[in-house]
Amino acid sequence: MVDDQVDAPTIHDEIQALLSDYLEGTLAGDGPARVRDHLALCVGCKATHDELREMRSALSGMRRQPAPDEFRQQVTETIHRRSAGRFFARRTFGDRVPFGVLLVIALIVLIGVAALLWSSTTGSIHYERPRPAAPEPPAPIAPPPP
Amino acid sequence: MTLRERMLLRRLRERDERAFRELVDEHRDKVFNLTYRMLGNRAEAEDVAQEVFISVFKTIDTFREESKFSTWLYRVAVNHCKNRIKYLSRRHDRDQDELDDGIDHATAAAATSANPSPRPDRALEGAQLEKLLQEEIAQLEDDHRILVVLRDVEDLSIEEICEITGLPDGTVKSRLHRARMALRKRLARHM
Repeated sequence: MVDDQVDAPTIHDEIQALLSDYLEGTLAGDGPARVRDHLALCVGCKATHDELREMRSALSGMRRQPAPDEFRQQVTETIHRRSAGRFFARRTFGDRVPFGVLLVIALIVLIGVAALLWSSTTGSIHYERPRPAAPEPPAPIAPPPP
Repeated sequence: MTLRERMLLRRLRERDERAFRELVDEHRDKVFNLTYRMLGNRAEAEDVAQEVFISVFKTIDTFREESKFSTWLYRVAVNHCKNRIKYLSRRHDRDQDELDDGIDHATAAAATSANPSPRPDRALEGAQLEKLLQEEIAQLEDDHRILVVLRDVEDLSIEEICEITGLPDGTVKSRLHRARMALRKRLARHM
């Protein structure tokens, strides 16, 4: 009798602590069988189990509350109001194009300019205009025949 | 993450207003339902849901796509709800009488219309039970409330809840059990 009084609450507490996992089906090993066997004999724990099951069922059956129809408009207006229109503002070129892309483009341009300078015979990228050919000396005028 | 979600995210990061509207349209009911179940008050829920979307839009660059977008969205929503609950409790403004009667009427009406051969007594029972559940959820401790709403109302997996709350698996399970037992105890007083 004394043993019953000492052991019984411990067993009930232990089983009740497993009830959520039992209901979720996540108990491992012989856990489900232990709980099932206990519930078959214990009216109190069976009642707790049934109440938890019904409560979960009621909670999952709660109707979903839809947002008001004007919700989207309200959020958008709030954003516009708080940001003074800057929030959705069109971004600058620098914001739109990633920094890495800009860097690669800059490198390509630099390499191009360097190659041009390197290949230039004058060391300048200025186009050297061909000098006009020197005018040929006028042909000697033959003396008129006598 | 689907290709469409990736495209939407890219557009959001470019501050595309149309993308933002699409985002709101897609997730507003989910977010609103969560905030409503967490706060138990329609006006507060609407306000917090708005803040959630504004936060998401502001901080979209910090989303690293390591988790599902919906998980990240839930995390933002839960954090906003927690902050609002703290704020309201500080202001002693958690008067449960403010539970929206309008919603209760709408709930009763929906319960009636959802059943093709409605029994008014059953419909009313359902609406009353839902109201009672909502009231008692709102009386739970914050940590308990979050877990009950995410698992039993929103039907999220334990793994998702761990990601949202940042808690380990064991903690979520044990805390969820305590939350259910606490809610059961509260409900038992009405039965």
